[in-house]
Amino acid sequence: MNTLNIIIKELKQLVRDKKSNAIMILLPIVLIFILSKAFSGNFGQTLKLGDVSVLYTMNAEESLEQSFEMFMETINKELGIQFVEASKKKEGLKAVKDVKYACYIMIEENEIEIYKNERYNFSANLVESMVRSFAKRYDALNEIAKSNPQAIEAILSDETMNFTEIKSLDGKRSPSSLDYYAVTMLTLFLLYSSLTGYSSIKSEQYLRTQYRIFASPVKKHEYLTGKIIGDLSISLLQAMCVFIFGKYLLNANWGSDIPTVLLVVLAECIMTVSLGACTAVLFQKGETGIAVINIAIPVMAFLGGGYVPLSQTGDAINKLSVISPLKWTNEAIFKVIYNNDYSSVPIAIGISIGIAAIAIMLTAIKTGKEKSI
Amino acid sequence: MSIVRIENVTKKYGNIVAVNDLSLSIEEGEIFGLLGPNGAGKSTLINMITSLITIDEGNIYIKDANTKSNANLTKSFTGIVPQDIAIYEDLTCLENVKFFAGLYGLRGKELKSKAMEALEFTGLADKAKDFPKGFSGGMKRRLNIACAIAHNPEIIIMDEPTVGIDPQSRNHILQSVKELNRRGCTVIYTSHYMEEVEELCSRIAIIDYGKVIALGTKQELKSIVKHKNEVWVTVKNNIDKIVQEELKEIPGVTDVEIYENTVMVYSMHESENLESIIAYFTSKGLGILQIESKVPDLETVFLTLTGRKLRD
Repeated sequence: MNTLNIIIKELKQLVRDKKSNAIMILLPIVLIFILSKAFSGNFGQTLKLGDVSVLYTMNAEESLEQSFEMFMETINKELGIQFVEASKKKEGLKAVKDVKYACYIMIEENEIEIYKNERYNFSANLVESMVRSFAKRYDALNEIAKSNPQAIEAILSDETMNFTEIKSLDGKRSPSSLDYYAVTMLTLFLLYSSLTGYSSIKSEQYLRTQYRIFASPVKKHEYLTGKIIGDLSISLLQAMCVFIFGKYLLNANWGSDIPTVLLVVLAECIMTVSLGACTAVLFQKGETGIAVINIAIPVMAFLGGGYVPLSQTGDAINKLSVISPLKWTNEAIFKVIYNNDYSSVPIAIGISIGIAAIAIMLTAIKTGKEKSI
Repeated sequence: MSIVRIENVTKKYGNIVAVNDLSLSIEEGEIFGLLGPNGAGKSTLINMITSLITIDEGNIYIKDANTKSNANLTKSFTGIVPQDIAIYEDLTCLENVKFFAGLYGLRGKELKSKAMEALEFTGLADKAKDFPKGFSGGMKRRLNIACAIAHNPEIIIMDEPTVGIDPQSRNHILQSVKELNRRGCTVIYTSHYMEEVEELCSRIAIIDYGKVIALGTKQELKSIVKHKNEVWVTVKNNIDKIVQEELKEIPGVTDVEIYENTVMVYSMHESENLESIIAYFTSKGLGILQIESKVPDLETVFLTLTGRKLRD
């Protein structure tokens, strides 16, 4: 019940903070407008897939080779993607590294491996997604062939049989500037929720109310849970306003699987609020904590593709971007929206929740220590 | 019966000993005063009583429960009025009191009625729905008290509750302390204001360098210095003409101190040397502005015991 008491108190205070709410809701909306207009030329409505080339080597079972050739033919016919055979793996890897091809597919015996170049982020992901789809269908047919050889004949004789379900991939669409910034501004501003977590803890120290709270029979975990849930609720509420505005008033594309996208957003929000709380207890001086947050956010946002897409930045930035949790969050969301690819969702959620867990642990260790009282 | 027992408690911060092997007993129903200059260890002691900081050595018992092993239980017996005003300016008075009282387990209608009672007690009932942002210092101090008493604690710890407020609010607070005590509350009261402690407290502990250097009723403490008379002479000018050694030659004079243009002459009790002291000043041709014969008070006691003034 103490936790609930603290959550209610937090919500009352945060809802009454009109200035912060206005900044956290209106600013991302304004920036979505400005940035989407300013950078509209950098984003294409459709990707020219004809320019995309994929390198491959094939040394597999006959049935797999036949199926994959059929797959390549279909992709080339439907999307215009060029498939070029490399002589050996080394050549394939080098060509991808040198940004000559979007990706390199290696088919060995009954395994398929894909090597992507991040510069071709979207097209490489698209090819990967289609190859995954192919592999799933091929595996399924293999299983059927083993258990019911008669059935496989019937399936293969079906003229509509295809290894690639292109229409399910939303393949020819890439994010417009509006689509892009609707997502990235929301995830970027969620980084600023760390300030909510930070102020929430710091203000209790400044007001000396933390002294009073800890003099009462409130347990530390009740206090921290109440704080984090309260801050999380208000941050999510602000994010939902931005999301609803972007999706329904600006018609930005948030894809068809909204629950998964929001799950990634929720994980990010838990991370940022926890990091904010952690910063508040780690740095006794208020100015230091604020400075750390204000430096970290733009850096993480830039490396996460918050301002410009990572595909438009250099190799060095791309390599460095792995340190930004926002990169994983944005990547997961874009993959779900545009490729129906869920492979990055557990990574993004794992990173966010992992960081949040460490932050909460540190906060719990430091909270209530004598100096902070 | 002791409601708070402090047994050989020590607290160190690095090499600094904030509280040094301190023992005290606070009786149920009394107003107990803790006196001491800044850094004497009062706040550290209070923080240990309320389990806000750990005890290095020794034990504190509240209603026979050890604060180390039963912190949540002992915390539930107490209410604390911190030295700094600890309220939320973006919550109304009623919301403030309800929030803090809620932390002690009060819920629903009981919570609301107890919160209103606390506001009435502190004279803020008509401000229940107001935000304390525009309140005067005195009103904020009263709200600070309301937040500590709504859950009806058996022990109220008040750490300098009257700092920086107007005389009217101070008087209100002092009356409130008496009333709380009359209702059965044990009050632990710390203050720099000697007259408040003299007016309120039935027993007083004087703390310095983390130790209790004197403990007793007001009369018992004053008896420490009853052998002393004190005469303060304020002169117009030429204070450099005064030779402390010459003054000490007057029969009964034990000590002489000079602060700016005031000379403090300490004598043995019943030495009847006032005429001689005045004669000394007139013989030096010093214009006397004021002569004050002081009755021993707690300030004198403190000065005698520590060699320092309380507000040093």
